[in-house]
Amino acid sequence: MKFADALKKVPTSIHFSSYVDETASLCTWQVPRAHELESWGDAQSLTGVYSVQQPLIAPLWGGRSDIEVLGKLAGLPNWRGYDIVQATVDERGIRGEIAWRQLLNKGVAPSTFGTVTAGLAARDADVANALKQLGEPAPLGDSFEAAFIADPKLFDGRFANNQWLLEMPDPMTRITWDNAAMLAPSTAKELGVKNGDIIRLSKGDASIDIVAWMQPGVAARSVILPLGWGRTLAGSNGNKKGFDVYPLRSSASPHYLAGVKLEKLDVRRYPISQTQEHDVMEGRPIAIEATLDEYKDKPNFPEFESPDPAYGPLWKTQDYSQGNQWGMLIDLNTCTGCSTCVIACQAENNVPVVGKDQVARGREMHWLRIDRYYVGESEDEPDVAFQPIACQHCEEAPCENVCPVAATSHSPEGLNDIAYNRCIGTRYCMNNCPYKVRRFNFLNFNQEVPETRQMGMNPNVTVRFRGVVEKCTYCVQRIQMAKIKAKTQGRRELREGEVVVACQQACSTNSIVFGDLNNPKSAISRRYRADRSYGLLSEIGTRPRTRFLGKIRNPNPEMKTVKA
Amino acid sequence: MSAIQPIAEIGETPLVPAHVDAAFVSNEVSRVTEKPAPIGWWLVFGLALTFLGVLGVSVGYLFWNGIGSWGNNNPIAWAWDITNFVWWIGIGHAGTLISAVLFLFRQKWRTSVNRFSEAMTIFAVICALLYPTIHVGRVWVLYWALPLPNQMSMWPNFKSPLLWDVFAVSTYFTVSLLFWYIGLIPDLATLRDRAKSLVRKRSYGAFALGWRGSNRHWRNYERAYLILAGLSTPLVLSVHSVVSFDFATSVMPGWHTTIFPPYFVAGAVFSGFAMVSTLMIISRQVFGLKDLMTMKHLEMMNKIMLVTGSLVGYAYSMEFFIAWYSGNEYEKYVFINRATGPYWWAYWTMITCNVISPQLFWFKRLRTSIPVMFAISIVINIGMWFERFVIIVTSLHRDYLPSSWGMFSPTLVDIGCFTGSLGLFFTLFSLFIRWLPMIAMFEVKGALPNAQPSHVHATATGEHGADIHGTVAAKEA
Repeated sequence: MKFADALKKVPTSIHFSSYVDETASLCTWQVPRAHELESWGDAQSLTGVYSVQQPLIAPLWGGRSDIEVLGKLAGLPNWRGYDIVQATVDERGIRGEIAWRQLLNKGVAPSTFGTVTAGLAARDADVANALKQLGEPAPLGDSFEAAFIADPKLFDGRFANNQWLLEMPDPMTRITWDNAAMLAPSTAKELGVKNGDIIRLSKGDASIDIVAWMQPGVAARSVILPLGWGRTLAGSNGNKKGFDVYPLRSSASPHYLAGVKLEKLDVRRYPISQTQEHDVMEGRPIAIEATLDEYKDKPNFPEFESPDPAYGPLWKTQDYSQGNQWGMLIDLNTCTGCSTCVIACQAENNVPVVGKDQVARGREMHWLRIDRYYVGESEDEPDVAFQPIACQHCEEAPCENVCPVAATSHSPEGLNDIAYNRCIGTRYCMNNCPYKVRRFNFLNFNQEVPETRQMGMNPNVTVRFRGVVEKCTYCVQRIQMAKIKAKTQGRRELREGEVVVACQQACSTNSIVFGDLNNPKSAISRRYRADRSYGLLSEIGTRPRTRFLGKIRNPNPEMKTVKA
Repeated sequence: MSAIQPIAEIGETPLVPAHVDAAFVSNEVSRVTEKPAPIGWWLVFGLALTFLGVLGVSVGYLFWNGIGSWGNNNPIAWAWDITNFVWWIGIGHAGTLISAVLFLFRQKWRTSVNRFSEAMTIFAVICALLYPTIHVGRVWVLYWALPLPNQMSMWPNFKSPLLWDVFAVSTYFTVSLLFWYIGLIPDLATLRDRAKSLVRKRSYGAFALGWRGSNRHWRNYERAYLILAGLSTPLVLSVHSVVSFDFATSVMPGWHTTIFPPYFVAGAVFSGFAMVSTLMIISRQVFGLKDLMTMKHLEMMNKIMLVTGSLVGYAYSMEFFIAWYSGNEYEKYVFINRATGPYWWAYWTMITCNVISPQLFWFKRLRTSIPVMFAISIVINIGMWFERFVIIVTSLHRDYLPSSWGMFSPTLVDIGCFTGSLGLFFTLFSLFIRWLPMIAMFEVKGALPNAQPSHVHATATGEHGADIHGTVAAKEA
């Protein structure tokens, strides 16, 4: 479309955005836009519920909100966001200090203001027509078909400056800090392309150079291109990360592009940082699954693969029958591998971002990771199993015995705690953890934290210095906050649902259940010992507090790729 | 007394040539510390000092930036650091074995090599101690691993094998140092008596603790030496057993093995003798001490290497057998992966160096050839380093969950810390052979062919050879 060239011809252009990005650099003016959390605003739902948006903080960099800029342009005398919202509130008939405060407190107005019935009819016929127009795809012959996808992390590129997302491993490829052109392994072999080779994709005048990646599950002769990478002015984190695939994409064909020429370039291999380099379970009982028929036949199928040891430890075990006993249950059936929990954990627990080079060295700090395994016989079209893994809070934790300074030890509530201040960093606990969930601050990953980022950190969680080990704490700070709250309210017991851990809160499919195992009414204790439940690697005798619910597949027998 | 009297019927010959007498021993050994150092010494010392500098720079860089300066990662949280630690500790085993165990077994051939190997032990343990010190993330609070009274009312965790390590290695170091020093006292007195300058007289004199070679001195000396030998003997077995507990008590496949203590001890003796052999061959060449460190000594050493090398080979094969026999799939995988996985080259280097190369010592021609034994001693040391690398890195790099598998690649700082520790070792060793009697003069004198005691007053001191020394001392006086 050559938007950039067209924009240059405009004599006065004003860019209104929170970021000075590629578009801003081409405009004559930049207006700083306040963040949503810095702005007053309001909204009304289709059903007529009126809500007011209150800022959390005054604009840090003097930005103006959307309505303020509109108000200025419209020549309002009272153009401040607060005044504009006040005026609308006034129109709604909410008057007086008390009513205003109640509105802010509740977030929504007590009465509704008329429903809107927009034309939201299903347009089946239009869809059918559009599909018809697509017609039969032309045979590819020697060429390839490029498929543009919204990146699972950066979407169209709008989140390209977000460190957390840049470092989050792609749910499927496990690649961090980069995108890649994904090819079917069979296609790659045919072309002699290996992971990390640079390939040139071209059609007509447009061409891009991008790193190639063999991705099982991709259709033959198809190239998957995630959008949103390779930006030049995304910000200090996002600049020149990955490869820009937009040059190949046109408004005429925004989703697919057939007839693409692919050639392997004779240049140095491009380094890719992955957090997981081995893709199969090697026949081990890790992410345990069964088909529906197998489940009906043997409802407790995981127990056979990952049994508890026949004999207990030699020493006297701790008594966990009293007080709150925290546990977690992760349902592999519903986990989609989206990795929202990973970011939620990172945000909650001040987990540092380490950068591409350190990830390549195996030093990513994520307390919670999603393991992705390919299952099934076919290399080209495997099934996929996801398994979120954080500290399992073993009741017989191998890490605790080996620490020479007792920096990691068990709480009476069944948590595997770490006293960061006590840790001297021998890393023995990391070696002895069968789940490899313990993370070490190999370098000072929090050396230069800008003030604004410091404001974004969780004040209830210690920022760790180099040389100490850290890992999932079951959000111990949230447990403590809930207890303090209960105490101030004069309660001895915590209510079910009062402690919600960050990953659980963020999970869109409620795959993570957390709670008190000693509370018979809690959601977790009802399902903790369900038939599908198992402890990962429990045959070692670790007695993990986190348990999994085995995955059940209900394959369509007419589809050939499913596990027999 | 049969130990000194070679039995001609079974082909035994005297340990040292016939022209060697007490005066010859004193002169030969003392002159090394009295005359200007030969050019060879300066070469070794200069090179060692350079690498000591490398160590300083590497450790400085490591302290400033953190453990991330090394290649360690998750899952390979221990790599070259602990490999080097175990390697050096292993090397430090020969000294005590030669001094204490061979002393108790009345193996008189040890007299030419014991001082030497004890010094080597001490320097090797110093190098070993370096690694647990620098490998912790927060070196400034390392003392928390010691049971010191403190305001936090915190003891270290007595369940941790790392803490057992602290005790085992520090005990070993202390006892070895005492043992070495006690054994040095009569020789320090000899150097003092021979000294021409006041500085030498005073400094050797201070460390000789007023030794006059009286009968009472010898009696006390013999008592102390025997007690320390008795104390050291179990340490020979315990130190490396405890070091092996670091691995054996863990839950990691490839580490969690009951064979580890004896296997580690055999390996330690193996590598220690190889290192002693390397150093002996160099020093007898540089200082021309071929009459005191004879081919017979070297051959004895080679025989021990053959035995311990075969023991180690047995352990390697038994590990494989048990991995299969246990039916534990993780254990099985670890061993198959060692031999055929990405680190196959490390495994087969280890096998070639440790199992195959010492088998050459079955042949007398090879066993008594200086170039061959020198090459093999170096090869064994390389092989033993790889053994620890294989145990530590290849076990960790692929453990239970395939999702966390990874690879290790060393950095320049890793290489600097390793070569630097060799620098530290050879610096200390060069200083030792230059300034201290590298051969226990009085002990060699006691093992001379003409040291047959003319009078026996052993009834008072029992069976531990005091009579021999008494005689030698009397002769000197």
